[in-house]
Amino acid sequence: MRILTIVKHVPDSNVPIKVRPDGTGIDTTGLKYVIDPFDEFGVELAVQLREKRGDVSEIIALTQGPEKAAETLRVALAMGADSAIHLSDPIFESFDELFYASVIAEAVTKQSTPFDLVLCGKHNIDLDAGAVGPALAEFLDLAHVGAVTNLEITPDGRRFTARRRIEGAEEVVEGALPALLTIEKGLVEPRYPSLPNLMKAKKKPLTVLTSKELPGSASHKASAQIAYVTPPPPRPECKFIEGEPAQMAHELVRFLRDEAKVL
Amino acid sequence: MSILLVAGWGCFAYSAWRRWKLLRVGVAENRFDQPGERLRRTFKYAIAQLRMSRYPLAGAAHMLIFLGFGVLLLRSLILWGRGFDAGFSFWWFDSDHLIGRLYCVLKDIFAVLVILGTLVFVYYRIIRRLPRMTLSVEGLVILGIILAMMFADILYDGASIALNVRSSQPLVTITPREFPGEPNKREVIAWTELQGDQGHTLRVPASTYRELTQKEIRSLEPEAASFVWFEPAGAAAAMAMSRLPGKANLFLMHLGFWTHSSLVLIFLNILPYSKHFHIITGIPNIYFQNLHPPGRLSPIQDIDSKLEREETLGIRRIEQFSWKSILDFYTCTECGRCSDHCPATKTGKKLSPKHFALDLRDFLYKHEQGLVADKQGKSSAEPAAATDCNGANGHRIDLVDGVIDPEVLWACTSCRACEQECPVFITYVDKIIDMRRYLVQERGEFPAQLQSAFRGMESNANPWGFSSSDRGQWAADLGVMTLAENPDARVLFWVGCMPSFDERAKKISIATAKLMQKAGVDFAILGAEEQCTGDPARRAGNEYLYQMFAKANVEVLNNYGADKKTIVTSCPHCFNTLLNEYPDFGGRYQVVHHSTFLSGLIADGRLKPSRQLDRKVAFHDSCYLGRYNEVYDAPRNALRSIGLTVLEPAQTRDRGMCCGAGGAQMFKEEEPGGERVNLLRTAQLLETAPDAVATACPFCMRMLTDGLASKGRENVPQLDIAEMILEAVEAV
Repeated sequence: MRILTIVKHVPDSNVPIKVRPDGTGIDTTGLKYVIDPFDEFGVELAVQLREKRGDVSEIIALTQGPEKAAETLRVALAMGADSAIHLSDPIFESFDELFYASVIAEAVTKQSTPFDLVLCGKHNIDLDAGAVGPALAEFLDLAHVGAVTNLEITPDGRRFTARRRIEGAEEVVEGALPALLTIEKGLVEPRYPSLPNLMKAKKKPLTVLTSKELPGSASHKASAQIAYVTPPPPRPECKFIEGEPAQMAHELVRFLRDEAKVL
Repeated sequence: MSILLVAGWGCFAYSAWRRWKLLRVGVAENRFDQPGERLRRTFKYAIAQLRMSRYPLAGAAHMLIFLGFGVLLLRSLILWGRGFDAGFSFWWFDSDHLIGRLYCVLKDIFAVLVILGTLVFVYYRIIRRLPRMTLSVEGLVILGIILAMMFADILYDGASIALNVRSSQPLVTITPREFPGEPNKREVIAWTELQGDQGHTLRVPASTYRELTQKEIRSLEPEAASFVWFEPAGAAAAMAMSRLPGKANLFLMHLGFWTHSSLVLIFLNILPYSKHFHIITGIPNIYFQNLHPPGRLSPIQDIDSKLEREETLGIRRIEQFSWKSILDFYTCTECGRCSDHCPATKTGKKLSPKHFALDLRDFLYKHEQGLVADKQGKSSAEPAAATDCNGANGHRIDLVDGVIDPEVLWACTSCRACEQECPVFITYVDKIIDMRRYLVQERGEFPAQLQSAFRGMESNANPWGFSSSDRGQWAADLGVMTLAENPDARVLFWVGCMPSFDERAKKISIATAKLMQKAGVDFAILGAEEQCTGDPARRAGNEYLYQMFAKANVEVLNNYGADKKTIVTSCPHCFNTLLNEYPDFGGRYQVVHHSTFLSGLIADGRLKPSRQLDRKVAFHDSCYLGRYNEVYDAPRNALRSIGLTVLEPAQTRDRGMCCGAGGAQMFKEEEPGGERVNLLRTAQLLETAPDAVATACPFCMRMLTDGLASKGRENVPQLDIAEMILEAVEAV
């Protein structure tokens, strides 16, 4: 079984994001980037499948992004991927996830051996569009299940049963491999790569592909563009009511009725 | 006697040689520096045994036995000598010299005292059945041997006095024989048997086969068995035994002599295989103790190239412990004082420091052969693959796979209560952290919650992952300058993560800053340039992450010339790391905890409390302030100086129990167990019936505030000393 995990290099959600004053995007100075946490679930799932099953022959991590995105690939390699593919070309840069998926699809189809399983996060924390997985499945003509919370693969590696939560119920989806699954939080807990594995990751093969190797990318067109970005409105200040309990209750009722006007 | 001595000492030499070779399996470590200081501590803790008395009765009983052994060592040597020459004594140590007589008095007194001391331990083991002890047969056997040795010695003395053979004299009777025709000459014959009750028993050494004059014969008149002042115990026994027939006394004398002489040798041979090995290894173990500040963990040197060479980071296998650690395992007396004070043991966690050490010791002993063979083979042959863990190579297994449960390692709060109690200075925290280092850095295995702390530190230089750019926000309205704005500030206020970001702990920073402003202290903070000291990562075993912070912080501090400033911090964890651990990374600073600094400001009159707070507060000692750095009085003085009455819980100062947050526990779930550490500590503090609980550490504050809330005692306010001082200074 060959597994491909798609990983994206995204700004760390722990660091506050600042929007550029002109609204053209976010201010990237001083931003720290990490592997997308949902994509990370995919890498972890792949590694766990290998640990549990005897038939996982190769795990390849693929990213599309600037030169720095190689760091994210190194994390995937340290977690247990065998090799990595880095799609790096200024032409590839886009906020349009359809375009992003089409570039990845071209790179995947150029691989000599097909994959049995393609894994990615249910969405990426930067754009939050959730289109990469379904679009890539469409481009690669693969079966797709989104936001998987539980996965079983038959011992012969041919069929899978995936569970996903929908409003008020759980859906159980069965299908044949190859397939593309997007992973929901909770399926696996990503490991903290150990230091020796981080060192070994530096020695694992990493292939860089540009528009030279992927000429099709030039003909793709980003169909949508971000017009402008605005920061969310600041949170209104908390109001504290102080005093004796009875007095506080009075004040609260007065506030809810006169100021918040909810009573 | 020759056979006994050769066999006894031969066997012992073999055992000692085996233990020596096993000791050499350990990694090299320099513990030979500062001999003066080492000798001073050896005298204080090995000879004067200042730590034993922390348990007064056991300490006293042990002191009696210890001194008794010292005194009676000479006696045993003399008795061995008498196995060859019945009249043997060292130089002036026979009963004709005052020294010998005084020694005999001393010896008898101590024989009795040793018996008393031993009975205390028999009482502990059989009647009290103290839970801290390992109530093994071995312990009782040893106590039995000690008692038997003492009684045998007294029996021997008693019987020989009763036989009117001085105890320092041989087992011999002498009868004068007259020579026909030569009235002035007598031959004195030494017999090895008594001539019945009427036989003359005379005071002449057995070797004295010679003719005596009449005068001399007269001086050899038999003596009645009477109380010999210089052998009180023996003489007392003799009084009781004098009615026995001579043959019975003779038998008892033989019995006492041979029992004592052989038991000493048997005892000696049990030592290397028992907890009583400490009789031999205890003094060296105290001599070779850690002389660094106790709060400093040894850094993994040259961590990057170790990674390149794929060397183990931390301790994975038993032979990666240093020889001193192995000596620690040898020396453990199984007294259980460590576990008696361990917050994890007390709350039912899997960790018990005593059993941690004993499990490692037993594993070491069990695999002695393989370990020694590997060590010796290292120079000539490649050691076999480390993964081969079956059968003969059982010693090569990873310790966390079956010897020490990782849950044991993760239950430690690094409070050092165990190390504070240990009479023979065994260290535990360093070993536990070393094993965590392997788990975290090589296996990537650790409690899941720590991952977010590590990631928070990696991305935002604080374990909670608050935005690092907001680190100075707490001071936004206070007019506090950063070091960038005021590089000449005399005092650097090192705020720390929790007091920078946590809503509750920010009030400590604000109070401290306001007090320094009121006192006119020229101080500044680092603001966004400050990063976590790395302490949580280090205590969690992530040495690599810690060293990144240590290097980065030392660089920032040195660039600001912090070595010429005073660094004040309200966090004991930061305090310990900055003071004791940054010197290893090139940062030597004068670091003062805010309790010391603020009480100094009050003492100097720079801070003037405008009113006295008439309240009783229970003070909780932070481990990293107290046991780690022996700051006990400063916070108490500060509290008293504002009129507060300081209440001490039963477990206080160097026995103060941990709040449960140290050693990276703050950032993980508590290990499974019966009770939560913070609740037990809260209960201890509440026993003093305080009006408020005072702390000097943001971690303790969180744990105790939670503890009070869980117990429904929010009515007892929990405040930092700085907040209390501010209240007294600000009051109108």
